Amino acid sequence: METGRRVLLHVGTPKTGTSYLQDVLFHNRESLAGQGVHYFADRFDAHFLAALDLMDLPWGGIEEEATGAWDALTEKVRAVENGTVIISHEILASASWQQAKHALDSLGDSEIHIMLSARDLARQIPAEWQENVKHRSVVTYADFLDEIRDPAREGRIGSWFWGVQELPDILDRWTQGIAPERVHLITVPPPGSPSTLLWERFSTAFGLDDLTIDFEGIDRGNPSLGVPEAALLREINLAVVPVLEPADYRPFVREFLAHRTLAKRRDSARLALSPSILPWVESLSESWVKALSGRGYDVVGGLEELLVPEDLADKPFIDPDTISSREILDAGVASIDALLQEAIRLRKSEARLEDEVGELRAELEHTRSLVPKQRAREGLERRWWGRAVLKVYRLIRR
Amino acid sequence: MPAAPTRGWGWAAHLREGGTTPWTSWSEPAAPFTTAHLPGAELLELLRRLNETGPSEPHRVDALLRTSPPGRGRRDLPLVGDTETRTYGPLPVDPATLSPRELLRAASVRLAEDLLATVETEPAPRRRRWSRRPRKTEPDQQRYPYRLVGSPWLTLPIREELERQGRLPGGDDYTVYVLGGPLDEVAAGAWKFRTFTNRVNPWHIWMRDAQWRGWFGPRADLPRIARWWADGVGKDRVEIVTDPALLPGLLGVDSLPGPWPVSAEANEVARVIGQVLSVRTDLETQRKLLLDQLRPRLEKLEPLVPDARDVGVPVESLDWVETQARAQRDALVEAGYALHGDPDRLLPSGAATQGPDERRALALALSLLAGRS
Repeated sequence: METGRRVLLHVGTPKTGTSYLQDVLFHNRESLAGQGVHYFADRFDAHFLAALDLMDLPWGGIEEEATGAWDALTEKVRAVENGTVIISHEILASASWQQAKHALDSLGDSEIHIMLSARDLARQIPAEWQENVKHRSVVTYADFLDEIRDPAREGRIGSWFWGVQELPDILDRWTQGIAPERVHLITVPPPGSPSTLLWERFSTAFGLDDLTIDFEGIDRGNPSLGVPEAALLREINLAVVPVLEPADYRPFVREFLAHRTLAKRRDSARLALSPSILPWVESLSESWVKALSGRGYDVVGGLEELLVPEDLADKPFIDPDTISSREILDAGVASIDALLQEAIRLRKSEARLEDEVGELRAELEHTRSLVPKQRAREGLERRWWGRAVLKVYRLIRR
Repeated sequence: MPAAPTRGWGWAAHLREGGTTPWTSWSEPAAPFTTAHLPGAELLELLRRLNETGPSEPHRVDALLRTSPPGRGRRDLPLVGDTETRTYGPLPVDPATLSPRELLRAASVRLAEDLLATVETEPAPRRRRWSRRPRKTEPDQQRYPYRLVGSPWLTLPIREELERQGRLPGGDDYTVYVLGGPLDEVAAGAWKFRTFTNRVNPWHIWMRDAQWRGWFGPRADLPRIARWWADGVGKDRVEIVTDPALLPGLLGVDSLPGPWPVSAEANEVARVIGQVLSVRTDLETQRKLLLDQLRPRLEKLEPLVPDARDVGVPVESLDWVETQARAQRDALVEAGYALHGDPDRLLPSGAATQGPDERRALALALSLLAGRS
């Protein structure tokens, strides 16, 4: 017997605009709760932590903060009597059958809807290589492609890639006992579509159309890198990964260098699929679309959008493994420029903080010096003779 | 409508009842015994191997089948030749061909859950090991005030024994003894310690990364450790011990224990369980479970599983380790610390040159699952 609680469980996939959706939900969580839609998160990565917990997945030390996060989240979900609850994280796509079952069971008597956002493999494969590079990897593009084509999937890269990208398998694992009409497949529009179209699809699928949402200050999410920028980042990884701890790598390399510096360079060539694997990807995509069609899912967008775009073969392919040093150098100079600007900003900030500390110290000293005077005056004012002494003192000072 | 019987469910039911027939010799179909998906080949093969060691309680078997291999890596592997209509997903496998590494990973969640269960049932809190202070100063403590530092894999068992004897570290004008040894063994000790206390990569990857980084890390850097203490207490109170046999004399005791008698494979078992515990609990609990609960059990199992290995630097890395060791030795000698033992004892011994044997690590894990310790 289901309650009036509807749970929209968004289980992936990576690189489909999920960060943007999660950012919108997190920043609007209070106003959405007032409108009957709950996104339980006390920090922006709360559902990421819950996913790590669910899947026993260590993640560069962050897992230490994840202990018990799934159970804590689902306890809040089960406490909702009426309304919609959204849980969203793309790495949930890699959950095993047992983990998915545990997750579904832990949602109690909810009306569960499985949400999966998906993009064609022609864009997902290069994007996943970039994600690897943004997560400390030094794997070349060629080796990455070899790993994902290994049918045994014995390597870390291949097993992870298919775990989070193989759409029919993800949906099999996550739809155990869930009616097809409660499975919503949201496809990412093809290149050249209006920039708002993906959000419109999310909004429709998640039932957010008629709600008041503030988009002010929402980050556009997880931007992609150009070919020279990605190649540079891989070179940087070769130098810094051995000496930078994950806790330092995340803010300095991934956030500052990759996201806030290199991803801003929009004129450089975008990474595409290697022509050599195009036929394999085309055939695989067709088999997935065939497997998914006829299942009765609610498709927001179109299954045909998961096929490799027909005009892809005509587009130039620039190989990040063999790109010229000159092009990488341009990205490198831009990085040095940004790092210098950041160093100057930090130095100014440090000087300002030093000034503030100096001022605060002076104020503290002054206050300390006042305390004995203040106490003496208060003591005198409590006694008749003290008040007389103060009167005389003030007359003399005048 | 009930699900159709399959050969895979038939094999799973056979294993659940204690069977040991390999998959390729199995032919009987059966209907699913649960609404869950058929467990992956890795879990079923693990159960088959467990059954080969003896019977298990049914509730433990069901608990095992409810787990999934943790973290990254393939799982939910279909059985080759079973009813499989899907054209996608992981390729079906013959479970007999799965590597011991995959089976050990499959065992790790259940082994971690067994350890976590001891936290809930532990009757009384353990006495506090580190904050204990003597009611009065022992005479030996006055005569031999000490601090023992260096690789914790070498020093922790000694410090525990000294404290058990009431010989607490510190005291007036204590001497800091930096316990060293052949750098390849000290480096292996740094990795071994982390297998029981934190999350760490497999030995060969840890070793590759150390060489890439050009440094074994703080726990294997004796000059750094000595310098840190010298800055705090003065160089004349820091002494380097390269021969552990000299330590009892320096500390005024008859004998001292060596490192914990656990093999490379026991370290590997602790390491994979630690991966799960790192998500399931806090670091302090993880350390307690691995060091205080798991380690004694593994020590008991060691003699039952032959061909134990010790962790050692691979031959191809010995030249690099030799260079590092010479630099450490020269730095300590030049710094002018008092030395006990030949400084050349800091050079690599080459006594062991392998990592854990995965088959033996799996055998230890199966013994743990079977409750043999």
